[in-house]
Amino acid sequence: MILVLGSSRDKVYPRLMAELEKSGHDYAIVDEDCAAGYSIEEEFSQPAEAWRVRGGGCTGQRPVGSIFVRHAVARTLNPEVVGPMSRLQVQLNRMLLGSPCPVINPPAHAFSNYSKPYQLSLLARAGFDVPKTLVTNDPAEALQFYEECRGKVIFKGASNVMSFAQAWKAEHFERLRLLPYCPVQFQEFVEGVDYRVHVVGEETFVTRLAAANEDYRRSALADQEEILAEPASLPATVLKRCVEFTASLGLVVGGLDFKETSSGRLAALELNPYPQFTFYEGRSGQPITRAVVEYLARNQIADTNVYA
Amino acid sequence: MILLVSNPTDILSLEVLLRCSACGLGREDVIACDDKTLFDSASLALRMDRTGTEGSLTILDRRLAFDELEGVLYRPGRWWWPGEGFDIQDQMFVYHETMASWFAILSALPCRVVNRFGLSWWLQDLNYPRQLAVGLAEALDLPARISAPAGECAVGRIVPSGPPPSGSEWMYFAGRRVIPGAQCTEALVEHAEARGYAVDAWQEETGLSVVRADFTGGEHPALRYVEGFPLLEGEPPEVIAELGDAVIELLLEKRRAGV
Repeated sequence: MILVLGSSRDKVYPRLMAELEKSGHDYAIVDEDCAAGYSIEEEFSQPAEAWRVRGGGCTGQRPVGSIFVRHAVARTLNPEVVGPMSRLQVQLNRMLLGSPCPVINPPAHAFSNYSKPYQLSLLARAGFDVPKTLVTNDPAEALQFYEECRGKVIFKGASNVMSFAQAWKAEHFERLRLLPYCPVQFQEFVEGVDYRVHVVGEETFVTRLAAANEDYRRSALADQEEILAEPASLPATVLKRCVEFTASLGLVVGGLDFKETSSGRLAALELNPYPQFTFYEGRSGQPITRAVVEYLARNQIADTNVYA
Repeated sequence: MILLVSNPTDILSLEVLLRCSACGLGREDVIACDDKTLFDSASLALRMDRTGTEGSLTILDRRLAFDELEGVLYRPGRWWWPGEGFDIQDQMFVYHETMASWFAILSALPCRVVNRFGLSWWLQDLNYPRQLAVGLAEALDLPARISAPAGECAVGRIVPSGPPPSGSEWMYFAGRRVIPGAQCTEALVEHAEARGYAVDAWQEETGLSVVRADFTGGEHPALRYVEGFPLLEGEPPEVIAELGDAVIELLLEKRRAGV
């Protein structure tokens, strides 16, 4: 059986449920938005530890062969919501650490994009071209970088807290005085076409994107503009590197962002360990959710220690 | 140049500071500050491209290129939070931007960082101590019977645990050294020393070169807990002194190797 840990409010959820239903494979769900309704029991009596998930449709009896995780995000500071959800997620993560089941994606391996400059250094070490980058809280350093890049600079957050990339424009010089209060990531602006590569195990899906804004997510999310997304291709060596890089982080699924210039330079921007692949699939028609479900079904193990 | 980031009362940092002068390091060779100073007033610049990373830090008015640093002892109090001039949403944003930047800096430094904690620690992943214990037990080829000393995970944060519970045996791993705690059999120390190559690999993988490992006592010991931030409260002076020696050795390893 496939176990899904996540949120019924998540945009990936309905597509995933539909694809699981269509696949005919047995599955169960832990809806973390209703955290109080679940319990995770850890048993020490067997030769190895075992976990039983109860609540919702989970009886704690059916063996789980593979697991899909996309943890819910509490969009409130209300302790009555945050408390039970956090406790459940800690217990679930503990279960995942002790389970031999294939997991898409193990939360313990999904932290690298918390620090974007750190992740960028990993991408560079893996052989990807990356944009020239500066992380600083020093206005003089930022200005020097601006000169070096001849004024073609974008800036964005260094952490994975949601922030859009913005082009450095004339009105931003005045805000440099605020820089000592908070480091910022500056990057040379790589002008060109956006690509998203989704990795699912050994499979890859390349999507080309076009939008009015320098960060296409702003066009779609903040400005509510439609973006163009279509299936595309990239060199096999790049796709192989994407698969290897995703696996090297201990992940099965990854969403890698690239920019391609008119001269053919392909710069890697980041890897999202929990990509919202339905956003791309809904526009490009690429069967990413189906590939995820097929991976989960194909890689189920019999010798499990998780029961739901 | 050595950088010590810690509370002014931290036992291990004080011990290391004492040894700095004994090793011939002058005031100009050591920068000591707490994490509030580091996060509130240090300047940082991390540059990278496809060929690599470099950068500089300005701490207490002293500017250092990354490659001027020989070693960093990183034992922050972890109570830093952005100033009240920001609203709560901006405070959270500034906090995460600052942590993400400093994590990248410490990762990029080409010198020993004691300890170079993983992102799980920075993100207060409450399962991090368990991960450490499972990994070290494997390296030591001992079973893991994980139970945290009181204090772990208080208010959703990873906090340094107190002394090991009674009935435990414990030891410190500091680089290649195995230093027995106040309660520890010789047989257990010998076993740990014999597994040195696997412990080295575990240290390399986790970034933790100084830890305390707690074991259930008795004939068949099992690993109970790994403390990546041992506070050393209540340890005999000779254990603290040996740890101080081991840490200064780690921080000066490049200098001693003539690098």
